[in-house]
Amino acid sequence: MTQASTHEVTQLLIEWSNGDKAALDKLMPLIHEELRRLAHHYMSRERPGHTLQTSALVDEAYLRLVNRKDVHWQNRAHFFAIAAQLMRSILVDHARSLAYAKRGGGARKIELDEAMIVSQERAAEVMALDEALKELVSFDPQQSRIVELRFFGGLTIEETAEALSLSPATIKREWVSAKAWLHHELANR
Amino acid sequence: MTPERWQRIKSLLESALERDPEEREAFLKEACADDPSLQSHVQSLIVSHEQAGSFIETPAFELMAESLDEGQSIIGSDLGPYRVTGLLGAGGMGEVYLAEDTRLGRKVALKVLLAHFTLEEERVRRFQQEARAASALNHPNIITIYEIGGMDASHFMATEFIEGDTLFKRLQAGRMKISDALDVAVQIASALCAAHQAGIVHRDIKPGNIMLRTDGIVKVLDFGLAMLTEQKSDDDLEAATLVKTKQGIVMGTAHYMSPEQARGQKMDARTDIFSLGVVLYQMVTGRVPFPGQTMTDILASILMLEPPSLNQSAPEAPAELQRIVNNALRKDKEKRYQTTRELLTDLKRLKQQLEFEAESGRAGTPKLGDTSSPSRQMDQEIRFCTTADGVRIAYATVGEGPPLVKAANWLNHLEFDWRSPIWRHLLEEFGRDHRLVRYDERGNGLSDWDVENFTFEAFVQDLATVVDSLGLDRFPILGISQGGPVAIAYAVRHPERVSHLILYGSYARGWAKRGVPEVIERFQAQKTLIKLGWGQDNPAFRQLWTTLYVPDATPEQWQWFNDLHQVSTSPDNAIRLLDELGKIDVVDLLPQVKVPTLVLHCRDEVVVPFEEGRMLAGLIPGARFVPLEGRNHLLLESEPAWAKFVTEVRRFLKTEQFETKREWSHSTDSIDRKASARQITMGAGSDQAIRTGEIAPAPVTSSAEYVVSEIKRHKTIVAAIVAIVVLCAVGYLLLKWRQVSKEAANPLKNASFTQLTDQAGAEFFPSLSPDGKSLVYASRAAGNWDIYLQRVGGRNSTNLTKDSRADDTQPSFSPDGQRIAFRSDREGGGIYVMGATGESVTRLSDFGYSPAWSPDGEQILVGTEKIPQPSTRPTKSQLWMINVKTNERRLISEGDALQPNYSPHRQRIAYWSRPSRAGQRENIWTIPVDGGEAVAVTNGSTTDLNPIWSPDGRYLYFSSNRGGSINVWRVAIDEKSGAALGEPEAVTTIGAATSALHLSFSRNGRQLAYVAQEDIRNLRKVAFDTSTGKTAGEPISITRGSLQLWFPDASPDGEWLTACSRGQQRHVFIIRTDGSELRDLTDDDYRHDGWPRWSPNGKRIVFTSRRSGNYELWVINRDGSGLQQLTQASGAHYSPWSPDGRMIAYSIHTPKNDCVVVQPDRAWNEQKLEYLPPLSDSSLSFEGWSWSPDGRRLAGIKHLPSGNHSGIGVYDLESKNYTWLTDFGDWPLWFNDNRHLLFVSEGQILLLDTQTRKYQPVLTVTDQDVDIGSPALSPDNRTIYFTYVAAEADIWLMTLET
Repeated sequence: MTQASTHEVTQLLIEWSNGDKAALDKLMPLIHEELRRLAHHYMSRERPGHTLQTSALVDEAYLRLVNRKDVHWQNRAHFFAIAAQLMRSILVDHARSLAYAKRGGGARKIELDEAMIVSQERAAEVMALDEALKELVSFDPQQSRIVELRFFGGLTIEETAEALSLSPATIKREWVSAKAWLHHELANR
Repeated sequence: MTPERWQRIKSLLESALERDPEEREAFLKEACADDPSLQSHVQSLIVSHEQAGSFIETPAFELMAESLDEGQSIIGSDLGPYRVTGLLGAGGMGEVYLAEDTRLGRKVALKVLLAHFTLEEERVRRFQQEARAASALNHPNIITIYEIGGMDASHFMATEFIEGDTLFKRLQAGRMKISDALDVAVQIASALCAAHQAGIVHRDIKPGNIMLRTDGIVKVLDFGLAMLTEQKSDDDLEAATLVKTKQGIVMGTAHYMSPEQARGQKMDARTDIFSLGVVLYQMVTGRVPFPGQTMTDILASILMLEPPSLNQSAPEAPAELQRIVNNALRKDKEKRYQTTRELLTDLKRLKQQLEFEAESGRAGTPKLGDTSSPSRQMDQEIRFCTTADGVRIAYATVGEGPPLVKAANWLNHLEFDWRSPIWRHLLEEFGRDHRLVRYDERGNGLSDWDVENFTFEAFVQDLATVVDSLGLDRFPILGISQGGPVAIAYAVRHPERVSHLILYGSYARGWAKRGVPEVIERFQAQKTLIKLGWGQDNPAFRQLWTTLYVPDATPEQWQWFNDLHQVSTSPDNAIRLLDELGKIDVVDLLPQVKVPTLVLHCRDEVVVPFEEGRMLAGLIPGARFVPLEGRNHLLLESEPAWAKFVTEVRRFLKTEQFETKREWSHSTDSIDRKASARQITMGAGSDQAIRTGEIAPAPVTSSAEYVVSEIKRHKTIVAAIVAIVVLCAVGYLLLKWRQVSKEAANPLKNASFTQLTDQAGAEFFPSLSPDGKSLVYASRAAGNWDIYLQRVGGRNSTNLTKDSRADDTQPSFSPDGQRIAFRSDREGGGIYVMGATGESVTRLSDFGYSPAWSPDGEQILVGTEKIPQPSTRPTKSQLWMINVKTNERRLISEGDALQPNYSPHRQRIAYWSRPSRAGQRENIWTIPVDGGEAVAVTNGSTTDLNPIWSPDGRYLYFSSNRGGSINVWRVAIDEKSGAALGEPEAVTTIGAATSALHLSFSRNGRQLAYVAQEDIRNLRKVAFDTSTGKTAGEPISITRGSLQLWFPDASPDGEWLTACSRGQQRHVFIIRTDGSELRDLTDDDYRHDGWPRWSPNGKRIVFTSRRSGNYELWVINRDGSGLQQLTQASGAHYSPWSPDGRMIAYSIHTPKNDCVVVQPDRAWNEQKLEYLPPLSDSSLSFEGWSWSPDGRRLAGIKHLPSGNHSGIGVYDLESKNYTWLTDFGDWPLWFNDNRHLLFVSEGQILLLDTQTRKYQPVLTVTDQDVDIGSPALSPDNRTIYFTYVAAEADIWLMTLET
């Protein structure tokens, strides 16, 4: 990515974190590309089954994308929150594109091998989860944020606790009920 | 859910989970006593909790990583020369990106294959093969493939980037109008037709593979790509399983499958016909003919159901369309259209018919063209008539008043002409007070395209048919260009009906026969370009046309020409028409023209020389000749010629009217109709035609007509007998002609091409074994040149000469296939013979190159010089014959003779040699096997190399650049006399940057192997020590890749180079000396920029460009601004600046080579040109290349009449003397000491002392496939920049149909 676009990303991030929704639309494709690049990097480097450090990945993505000097993150929590939200937007969007492909919506030839089908199932899961989270936020915004940070942001219990200034025990407890509810929602959709 | 309720559920859930599972129910029952629904909710969450397991424990990114990686993005990165800028779409085989070709700055679509498709080498190879074959199609409706390549593990294909939508997208908006659907179908069918003729089946025709460009042009994508997804085996079972296992996966494409495809059976061209039928059905009705929710349903539907009639969804669909669709969708492929040609013909005919009906339904509102243009106000009525030989001719009249008939000329188009900047004014002008009659000649415009008879006589007949259909009695004829001879022939035959004959830019003799090398060359170039670029938005193509017809064409005119090609006729027809025009000769008819004639011709016309017009007028009795000022072949409104033309024609039409009638009444009986008919026979160029083995039907028709007219006139028995005799002869001749034409049915048309080798670097000198099953060739894969044996179609090669460390090249299979003769540098060099698998090597001679066996295998021919660098080779190559058994040698010819080859019946030897006289290049000769007088086969100004005989002895195949780049050509030849029987024709039309060389036939003549060589030019630099005159260190690459930069020149600050590209686009670039910041300075559609030179102040660059039509010097600022033309000298080139920047020397080729000094800061009309004095040998000339730093001398090149360079010289500007320093070498450059020169010759950079005339090599490349181009020097003389030329050459096999 060139210097110019790094600068662009930084600017967009600032605008977005200041509440400019349009900035996200411009931001997503840029970051999407970067994530794809990273994903490839990790996929080709790691052994199969090796756990990805999503938060590290996000960190790396940001390091590559954002000139940190230009962004004065209020605190670490703010950074993680932004990151998780961004990841959520990107990943759901990506999931949508996969699912769209499955419906034969693309004008191009669609031919899927098994791996693609697995990916599509996961994509459906990610999309459904996004929908359920939209409902969860209406009656338990904090729990919704916890799920967003953990599932989309890839944060550990401890990191989530730190980001939200809560105790790890609280996060664990909230996680259990959120997980149960979400699983129930997805199973009965 | 309310937050409160959720809080309660959460706490209940937490509490319940803290308890043992068996206690939970009781706990909840108690806690939720007031709300049973709460209890069940919490209980269901407990179940979920137990089931959830690792649910959402893995972050989403990890879940998606695989799929994210699947589409591993390359956006922003470079693939070879392509900078990927965006994603256009994704498909089964990979993704399609928008990319920029950094070499040319043009947008391309880059299709990158998915990794798992590239794992199978065989599959990738087949993909490349097929894609290469498809890329050779060059059809306006087939997407242009620029490059098929690979970088690291990824394989990609760069194609033309098309702005527009897919048909898929268009169909989402609903069904299409019948006319639009037909238009698209015709274009698809036309593309398939070309592909099928080349043996390529698309296999996946569907709306998603059809692009609709915004200008209405349809492009078919993905030729050959379907192969990738197919199983390798044609086995029915396996293929059927494929369909099964991929159920629901190929859904999108199942609708377009043919029954045979659905059954997993073998597919051929008829599969594409079916799929096109489906697409056509869908375009018309908006639905697919074989619907279904699942794959199984669709396949069943395809196999069993008949689709609903078109009228159910499209009530307006004509019955003929239903018939066409039915015919395409027949389940039994044997009952379907058998060829796309038939389908195309039907579609076109229907389209024309509907257009015609639409036209007549709403006369005065023609479809094409700009309705706001005043000319559109004129009502044009298009009608059709049918000629005696069954060809439909479209004609139109416009305006009222006395008739004026315009004879058709090449690329007429009744409708399109109205919006043309070429014809509009003419049609308007004469349509105002005449009933202007126009028609499209056969094979062209709105007339039938599917025509066999393309003869001059047929053109005359078309004119006759049109005027007869209109019932015209007496009328003036206007013949422009090709229309001229047609009008002349008609006027000679029907003087009673022609009141006036007006000829503009007409010719009496066809183009190619006039023997002017440039004309022939241009003619051939034109044909090649038609093959390559017909109807494409190809700048080179447009430029050629405009250079020919309208040298100073405006963008509007360009565009019109470009568009015209897409509508007027097919490329095949265009070439056939051109061929016929080349044969026209009406010189003998001219004295017989008895009608008043006005001949107009422009003085500086580019296509038909002024003298031709004058001669034409001179031979027509009483003709008035009016010279016009101008150089355009076609009359432009803005030119003074036009005004004069109108005045003259009007005056002529008025004043001569009465007189004409009188003259006619006098001359009626004196006209010898019999004679004129005979003359036409001769005039049609039959002489030429018969010699080439085709018997033109022209004489037949005209004699038949003569007989019929005789009968009409005299009705005598004698005439009737004559008639019977002649008609019998006619019948016989026709029969014969058909046989001959069938026999001679161009085998090249159905040729298929296969790539045999694809290693990096060069594979040279293929020699096919007589059975065509294996080949030997030379390659340097193992470090030195060795001879490799490979099975045709196989991949593995065996090094036959790996034991020898010397270079072994130029292998040649013996006629029995048992031995291989070759050139080897071992033991001092010579010709060797070994067994077919490399055993028992014996030395045959201690000299010689390019061994060739005699048909009986007893003799071997050799030349004494090797092939490279023929132009600078100082000595003649002798031709020797060596007896293989006795080693006895015989000198056949002193030469110059290279790459000799026996004729199959051992009658003659063909070879090529360097130019023998002025104006020539390398030409092909033959000589009797025992020596004697050599006969030239070619003697033009093009380079012709490497002749080989076809095994039947009827043709000589050779490499030639007569079409632009070096391709394989052939010429019919008489083996006994060695005389050429006709004009050469192109066999291959490979890309412009590629050369086809080193030809070899299999014994049955069906397989021809050749080398497709592309030179890759890159800039390098090497440090130079001025004290020792030697390089310091190894050369370093400045550029890599295939931009083909050459002719570098260093900027005065030493930081930059300017250089030009070679290949499709010839632009001027600048680049830092470290290879960064490459920039295309002349990034536009013009492609003929070269030889850039930096001004001494570093601000400007002067270069040679043909952007004005002629070679001229242009200057541009180094930031790309301020482009301006410096000279108007018609042929100026090369441009060394004087060190003070006040003068530039340029060279010019006309009338003879001169070196001229011009001042760059003055306008052209203020220049005081300073001509250098001529050389004592006036056939030579001096081309200045480098100005000495002290400004006193100009170093340059000796230019031979052949166009070759031959030696370095210096011109002293003070003493006005030339000094020749060498008789070899090129591109001399001064050192700062004003004494030494740097120059190149045959793969060497040399240092020359102008005082002692001694020279020494500075840098040498010894390899056969590497060369060094023109050097540049850094301002401090411590760095030499040069062009490093490496050959990438692969062996291809052309298979000819029998």
